[in-house]
Amino acid sequence: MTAAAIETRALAKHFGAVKAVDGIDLDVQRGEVFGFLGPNGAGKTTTIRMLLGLLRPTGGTVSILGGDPSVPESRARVAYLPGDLEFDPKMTGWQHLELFGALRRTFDATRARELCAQLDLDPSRPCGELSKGNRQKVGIVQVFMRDCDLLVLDEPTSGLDPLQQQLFNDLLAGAKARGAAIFLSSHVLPEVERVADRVGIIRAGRLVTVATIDELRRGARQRLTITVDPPATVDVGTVGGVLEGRVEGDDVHVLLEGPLQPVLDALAGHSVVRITSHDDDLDDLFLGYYR
Amino acid sequence: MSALLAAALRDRRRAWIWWTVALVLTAFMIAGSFGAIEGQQELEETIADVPDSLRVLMGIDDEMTLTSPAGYVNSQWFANMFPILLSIYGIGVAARLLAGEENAGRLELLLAHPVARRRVLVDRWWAAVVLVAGLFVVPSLVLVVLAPMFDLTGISVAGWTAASAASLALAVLHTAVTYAVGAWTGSRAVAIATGAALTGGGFLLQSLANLSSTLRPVRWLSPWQWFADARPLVDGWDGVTVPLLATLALAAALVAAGAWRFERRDIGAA
Repeated sequence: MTAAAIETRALAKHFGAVKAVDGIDLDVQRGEVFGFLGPNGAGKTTTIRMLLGLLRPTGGTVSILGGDPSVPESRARVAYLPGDLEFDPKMTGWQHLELFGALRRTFDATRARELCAQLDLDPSRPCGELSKGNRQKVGIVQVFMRDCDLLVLDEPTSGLDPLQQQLFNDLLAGAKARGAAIFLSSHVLPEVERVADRVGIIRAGRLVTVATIDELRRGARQRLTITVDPPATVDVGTVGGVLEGRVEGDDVHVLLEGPLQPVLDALAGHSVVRITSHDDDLDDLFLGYYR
Repeated sequence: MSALLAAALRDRRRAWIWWTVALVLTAFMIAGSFGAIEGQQELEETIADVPDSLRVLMGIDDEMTLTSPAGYVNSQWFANMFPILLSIYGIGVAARLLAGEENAGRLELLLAHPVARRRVLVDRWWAAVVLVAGLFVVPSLVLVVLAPMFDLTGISVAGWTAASAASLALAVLHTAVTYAVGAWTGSRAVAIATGAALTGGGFLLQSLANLSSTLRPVRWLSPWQWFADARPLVDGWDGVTVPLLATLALAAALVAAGAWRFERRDIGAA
């Protein structure tokens, strides 16, 4: 049996009195995309830096691919994309890629060149002359230029346009398909919603929930407008599952938690012309966790 | 050569060339100016009235007079200019190569790779040593070649090499202090401040200890003092070998201590 890609138990990092990370249990399996969500300052990056051995935990345990991240060999099959990506302004993108390849004792120049072409990146320019988006591409190429078993990506699509985000998602899907584990952090839900199997939400250094996207969706609230004919005469606010309800001409506005059927039952005798969803439901739910 | 060492050297190449040009020009200027004061009896008589302590400060004494080749070269180059310029360069390089990189957020991705922190630290330390030693070699050779052309004669090969080695050893020690403090604290500013304080403070202490009896007992705290009793341009390696080895050993110990801490502490948490 192979070890979990990531396993932390009561992982903590306190900076003096500040509890940046305060007891986190994470389990990420191989072949899984795990979204790590939380507002800025919640402890995402601190957690990630502990996963890579950059920060030493003040409590708890952490292992990646079965090893201690502070041991260099444990990081041999781990790729990392930092949230604050900084390159030497005088070195070109290609020189960076070669250096990173040398540190892994393996550099597939053909593949690196292909990835640069795919992302429309000119690697011969000094990094100091590259835009933020182009520097991010250098970071993405160094992640995917070698088949790693664990990818740790901190806010990976910042600075990318939608087309490049799609390319990036394809690369992620490829890595997942060959069995890599992907740990993906973000402060916005849509960035991970499409690609993640499960998400963990961190707030003030603690993991407040871990759920699949489907589970999140099932518990999510929906804001709907149901247009009926003739205008409704029932008080939809009293229907089970409806948190807010009001009738405005032909339109019935509801904020709903749970299934829609009871509302439709209450409107029996009316013909439903149209149902309009106003949802950002997951975003609403997500904001609920933040508060 | 490791990829890390090569990258560090490539990065510093251009600044190194400018420093080398500046030091060569300085050496050239100093050698060329000897003709103006060579054998000037009036100047000698004036300096004879200067207190001994001040003359030590200038890097001259009764045998090694200012108007003699050895006294002149020592007072204008080896006693101050050369080790100070080498140290300033070494401090800048040492602070930049590790703590500076960390402060700029550039160690994070590097150290997430399967590479030991100690490897990174040691490779960049060797880059700093190569750069400082390279800056040392070129002007030293230029000065030795130019010396006879400007009547700076009578200094033996042992004299030149011992005096140069002493300057290099001091610069390496100041570079090591800076590098080690940067490795320990992760702060480029603290590293530079410490290196500069040791270089400048040590120079001042060695100088002032000759004038102040209160400072005399603590003058050994200054690395400059360790070489102060030797007169390598006259006596060659006598009195230089021991402080030289001690200085280099201390430099190595400091870097080792920095490495010990660097391997254990948080990276880029500042």
